[in-house]
Amino acid sequence: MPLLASIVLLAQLPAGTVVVSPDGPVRTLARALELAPEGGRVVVRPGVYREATVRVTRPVEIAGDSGAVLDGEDHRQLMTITADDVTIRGLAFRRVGASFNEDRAAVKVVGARRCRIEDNEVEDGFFGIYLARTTGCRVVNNRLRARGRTEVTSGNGIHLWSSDSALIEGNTISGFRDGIYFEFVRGSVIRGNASGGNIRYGLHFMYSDGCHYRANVFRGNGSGVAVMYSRDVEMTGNRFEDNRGSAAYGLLLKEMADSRLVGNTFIRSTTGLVAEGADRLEARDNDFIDDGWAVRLTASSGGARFTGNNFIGNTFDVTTNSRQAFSTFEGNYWASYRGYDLDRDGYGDVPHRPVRLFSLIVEHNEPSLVLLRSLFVRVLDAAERVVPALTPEGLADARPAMRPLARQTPVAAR
Amino acid sequence: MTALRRALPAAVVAAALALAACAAALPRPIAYDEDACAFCRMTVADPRYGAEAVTLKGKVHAFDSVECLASYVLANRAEVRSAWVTDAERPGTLLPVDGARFTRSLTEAGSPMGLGLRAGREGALSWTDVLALVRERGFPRAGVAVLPS
Repeated sequence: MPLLASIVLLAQLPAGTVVVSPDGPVRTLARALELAPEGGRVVVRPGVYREATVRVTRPVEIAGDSGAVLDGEDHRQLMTITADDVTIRGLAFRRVGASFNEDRAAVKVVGARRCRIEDNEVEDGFFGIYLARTTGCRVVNNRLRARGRTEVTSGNGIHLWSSDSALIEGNTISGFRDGIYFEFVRGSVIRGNASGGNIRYGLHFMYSDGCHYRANVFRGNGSGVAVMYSRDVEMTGNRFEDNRGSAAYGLLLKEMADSRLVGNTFIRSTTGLVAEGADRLEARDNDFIDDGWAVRLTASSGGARFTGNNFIGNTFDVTTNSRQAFSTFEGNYWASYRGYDLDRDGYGDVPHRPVRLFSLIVEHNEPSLVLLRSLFVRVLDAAERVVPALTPEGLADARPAMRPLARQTPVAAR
Repeated sequence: MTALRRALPAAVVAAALALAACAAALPRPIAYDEDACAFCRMTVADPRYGAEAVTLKGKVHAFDSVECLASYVLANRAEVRSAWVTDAERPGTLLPVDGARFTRSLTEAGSPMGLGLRAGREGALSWTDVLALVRERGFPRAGVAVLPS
């Protein structure tokens, strides 16, 4: 009778579709993939499937019903895709299991084009979705979770290595080493993801040129976000929130060239933005709010331009390790500005020097931070503002805005 | 016997001095997910690749990779008293660089800085080879994987 029922069911499905179910004629994904024709479809009925790593070697779509779970029992990779044009949709992947020797993932795609990994769930991943040598893949609307610090070692949520033209959109990622990791990636877009509560970085770029990330939220990651050793990276409309700790920052830019940082929000972090060796950075229309240090720039960041940013409620707006002015500030709003606007053009008539003398002292001797609210420090800062002796003289905003700069449309909608 | 008695304090002092010298040159355990790499600033996370340098003043710097340690040593050779790398097969075990051997495992499961350098008890490369490699190649070029795909 069950056999008859499944035959009836099969009859209703389009040709080329194979159904996997815990009690049907086909009970493993491996068997279903043998039966499915090229370009066919495998439908996975609800149930928990425990089988050897599923290998997808032909173009096929695998669609899971709600409640279809692939379980790795903490010691294997769950799925390896080596064919072009594979779609994985609606599956739940459980218990990948950490390893020192191999980068096990829930789904690993190797040397393939145009894969689509959509609407899946990864629970207790080591690595989550792992793309190596891929072109034109889409990783969209997945929810990924790992166990965080309880593991001896950890992997990344969405990991791309040597790939190009990928779209990473609408995913939710937490508990991994790095939420999203890019190494040797080109021409890819990361959009509308929420990556928070990861052990190290919400997003991590290494050697990845010409990529664009926008409208993502990075909240409460161990160290924040690190974008390193890359050029021509566009960062727009992202939120960097709640990154606290002695080595935590909203965003670390390290050895970057020709990057644009536009319309982002840096809020409630120990440090908002750290730029080290960020050449010709364009930082425009960003909000730095309630950070300990809003912006820390090193002398090696040549030619950075800060315009139209709001600096509100930060302990230190800008710090630097040099007396040379190597970057320019113009038309920003500084809540700490003490000047006036007699000609009423909306901009202060005397320049604002955002680097406090005290921040230099703290830079050299961190424990001196306890003196932050003391009268002595206030006098010191005031004296320095009048006659700059130690702070970078040229580092000044000649046109400080008198009011916070309004943000018209959320960048996400642009 | 008298000779011994006379020699003993000297020996103790010598031993104590030697110990103190050693202590100053010894690494400390790396605090993964907390220490920041002294060269590239990344938070040190992968326990297979952590490395350390101890300076002449006794300061200990942590690194996230063999590549970063080598880059630091090349730039600060005069100040480095000792340098240490993790045995990738035995995370948590630090080996002195001169006693370690190195391999390059060029897969997607690469090292944190992308040159694929890994330390252990066996391998084709010595520390001198590693320094030469890092001096010549530097870190990888952006957008170009070390391996042809």
